[in-house]
Amino acid sequence: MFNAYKNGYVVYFEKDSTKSSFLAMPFKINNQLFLDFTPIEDKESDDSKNDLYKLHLIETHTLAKFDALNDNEISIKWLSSKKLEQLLNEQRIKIEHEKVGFAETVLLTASSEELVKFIKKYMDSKDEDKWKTDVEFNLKKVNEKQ
Amino acid sequence: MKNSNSPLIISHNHKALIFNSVLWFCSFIILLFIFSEDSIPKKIDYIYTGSFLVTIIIPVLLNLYFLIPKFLKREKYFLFVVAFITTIIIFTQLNIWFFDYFIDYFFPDYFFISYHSRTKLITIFSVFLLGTTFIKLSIDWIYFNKNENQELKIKNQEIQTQLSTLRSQINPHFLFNSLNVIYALALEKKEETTNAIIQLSDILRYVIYDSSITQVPLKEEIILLKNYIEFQKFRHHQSEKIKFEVNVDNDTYRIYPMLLLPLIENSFKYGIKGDINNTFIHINISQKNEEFIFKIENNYIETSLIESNGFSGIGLENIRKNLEIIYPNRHEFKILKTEHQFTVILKLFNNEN
Repeated sequence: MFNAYKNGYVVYFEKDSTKSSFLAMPFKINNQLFLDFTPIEDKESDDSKNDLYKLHLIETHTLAKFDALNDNEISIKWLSSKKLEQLLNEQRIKIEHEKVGFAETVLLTASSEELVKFIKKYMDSKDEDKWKTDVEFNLKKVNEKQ
Repeated sequence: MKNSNSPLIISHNHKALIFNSVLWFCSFIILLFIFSEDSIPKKIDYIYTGSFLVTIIIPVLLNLYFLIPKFLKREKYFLFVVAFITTIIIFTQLNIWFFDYFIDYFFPDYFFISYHSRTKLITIFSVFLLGTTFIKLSIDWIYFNKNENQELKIKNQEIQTQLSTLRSQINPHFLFNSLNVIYALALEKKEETTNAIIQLSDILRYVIYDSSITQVPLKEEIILLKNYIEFQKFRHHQSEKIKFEVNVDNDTYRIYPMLLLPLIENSFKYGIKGDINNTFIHINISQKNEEFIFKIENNYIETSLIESNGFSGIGLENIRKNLEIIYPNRHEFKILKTEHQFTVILKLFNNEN
């Protein structure tokens, strides 16, 4: 267990007085760094839902592109689910997926190997908006002493 | 020559075109539904299936039209197996590269990837190559049998033609000798001349009509021989020295017509004519169970030997050819010569030796 995740990072995210934690596993595709985000146990969040509700939830992975803009600043951009849905609707991508829940959220069910191959192709595409996303963060290093 | 081959080539190409059209259409439909994963096929599924099929068509055609004819059909089995496996490995890798890289040049708006593991691809390619090999060999086998049947029919026709030719070679000989007999009787103004003509007429009727049948009952053939011998007695006046013994269990035993007459004909020609003082002809026909034996002995002297090796060359050769065709591996034909005696023994069996 430890060896499997020893290169990972625990990422905390606070927003509107809520706090959640993730395991972020870094990996490279064609020299581009990505982070594989997985939610980890969040007691505060867990307590707000009862067991039956939680029975219907499943932890999924998300993919974020990681770039070090300079020595003090990094950029994390999540692969846009809208973009993915658009590609699927336009029938330009053929990859195993399911639409889950009332919102019919797209859930990719392909193997890791297939997903990596797809990302490689996606990275090479000439689509200028391929990394345009609603979920991105530009983070600056803060002085720990402060 | 070129013109006569052209329809065959067109027909062959036509069949190959039909074979490939049916094969690849069916393959496309099957793969399309497999790759669509139980949902209604979309445009992207058609493109992917078509592209995937192209990567299979090439090695399959290579196998069908190069490896099979060059190695498998020439019994170079080891080379075929090596080439077959190599083809699968190479084209499996090419399939992976095609979907990982090359397909983007043909369909830049799509994000195709190689979806299948190497093991799965090798399985798919193996199934296609093995399946089409078996289909091809089965079709070839059907055509081979068809052609073989046609060849057999042609060969049979050739044999019939050959037999007919051989018969037509016998008849003039016989007629020529018979006319000589009647001529001799007429010269002597003998009363038997009319009987001889009637007997000759009976013989000719048999030769003309019955000898066209594949096989005749032995009794009919014996009547012919008796007629012939009686006919020859008019000429030779040596009837006491001509013995004709028949010992037949089943006179419905069937025999190829006009098979024995040339042997008797030649005995009269070269035996009796050859040596007036010690002339004789002994003919023995026996048939028991499924074995038929014909034996004929006659005197002969060196002059007749010099003339035609003791026997009519054409007659002997005709009988040999006839026997090889109509009783293949079911006969024994022996010619025995002593200083003053010439013997021919013919045995016919119903079963192969």
